[in-house]
Amino acid sequence: MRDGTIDASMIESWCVNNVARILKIPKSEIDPKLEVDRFGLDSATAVALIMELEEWLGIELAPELLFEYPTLADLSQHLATLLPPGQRVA
Amino acid sequence: MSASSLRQREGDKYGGSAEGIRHHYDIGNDFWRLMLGPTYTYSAALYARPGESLEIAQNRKIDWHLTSASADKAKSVLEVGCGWGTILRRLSEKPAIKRVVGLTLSDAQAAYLRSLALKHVEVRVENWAVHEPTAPYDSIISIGAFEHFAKAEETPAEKLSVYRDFFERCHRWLSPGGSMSLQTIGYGNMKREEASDFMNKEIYPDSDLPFLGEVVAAVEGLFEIVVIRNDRLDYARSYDAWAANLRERRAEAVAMVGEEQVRRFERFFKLGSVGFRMGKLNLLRFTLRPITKQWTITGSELWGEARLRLA
Repeated sequence: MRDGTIDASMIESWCVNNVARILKIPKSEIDPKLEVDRFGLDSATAVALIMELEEWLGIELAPELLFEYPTLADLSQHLATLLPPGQRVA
Repeated sequence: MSASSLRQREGDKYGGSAEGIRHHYDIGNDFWRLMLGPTYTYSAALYARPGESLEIAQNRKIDWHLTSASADKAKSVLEVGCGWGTILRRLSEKPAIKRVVGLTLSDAQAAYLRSLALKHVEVRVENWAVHEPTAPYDSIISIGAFEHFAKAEETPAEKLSVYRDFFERCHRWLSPGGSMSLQTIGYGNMKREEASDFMNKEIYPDSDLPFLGEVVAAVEGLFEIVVIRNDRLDYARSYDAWAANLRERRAEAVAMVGEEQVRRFERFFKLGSVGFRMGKLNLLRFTLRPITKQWTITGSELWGEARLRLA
């Protein structure tokens, strides 16, 4: 992570930061091990998260990912496997 | 509020706003075809298996509606909201068919359809609310048009009166032994006020969705509901498939309609997919049979083997 390579934990903290911003709630209220509907992500904000993730990571993400990986921790783990090896922060 | 006073207030927009339709549909036939794929069908497909192609699932959906409307024995068929003619093409090839009328409010769709010069098919740029058939129809099919009949600013009572007016007309236009197939998106687990501004203004202006209960109330005494299905995940998969088509040929799409429009559709497809997966939206399919005093007409063709294919 120190060299800027994107890994699961970096994606997870990015998600926590951005969900907090999208939902306008403190980061402390976002538990990455909880299902995202538990802290108030709805259809519009979920789509906003997906599209921002796509832009940041430079990959296309299908909406069903959020249903298959409903926690930010699981989602981040999965996203890390989709990235080309050695991808760095844009 | 009665349908006639609402009609007076809304004028040409009553029952479906041509302006609202053209905003969404008349942005380039080539762009739509790129997203929709070979069947050129802009409504939820009917999937049976995981991994199935959009084209196969769209053809299954078309078959479903042809069965649901008993189109095999029909000599004359009306399609309310005919899109780019997927159903019209299939009907025009049927041996028994004498007359097919397709209504649309999209000039671009009508121009495309007229260029095909389909046998027995008449395409009219006309709202159902002013349609005056010259003879009864044996079948009526309406797929993905009902979503445009009501408007967000109408009261629930006004909305219902529009729907009721639609079904009264369809009932009048159908021959007593006929049947009607209807497919529409409906609000599911959400309130009408929760509909997003993005969907109401940028994607579908001048439109509003029904609740299942509103459709049921609107057909009461006019049609019996033979089959009703909620296939909401099919719409999520269809949106995903269109999004994948768009992604694959994104540069071409941008050249056709511009970056902003492409981004709008990307967001729209994702929002739709998530909304259906969450159950905020339902995808409703109905087989409807006109209620008639002629009790010797039983609709047995719908209750037999066909019903197993429909339910």
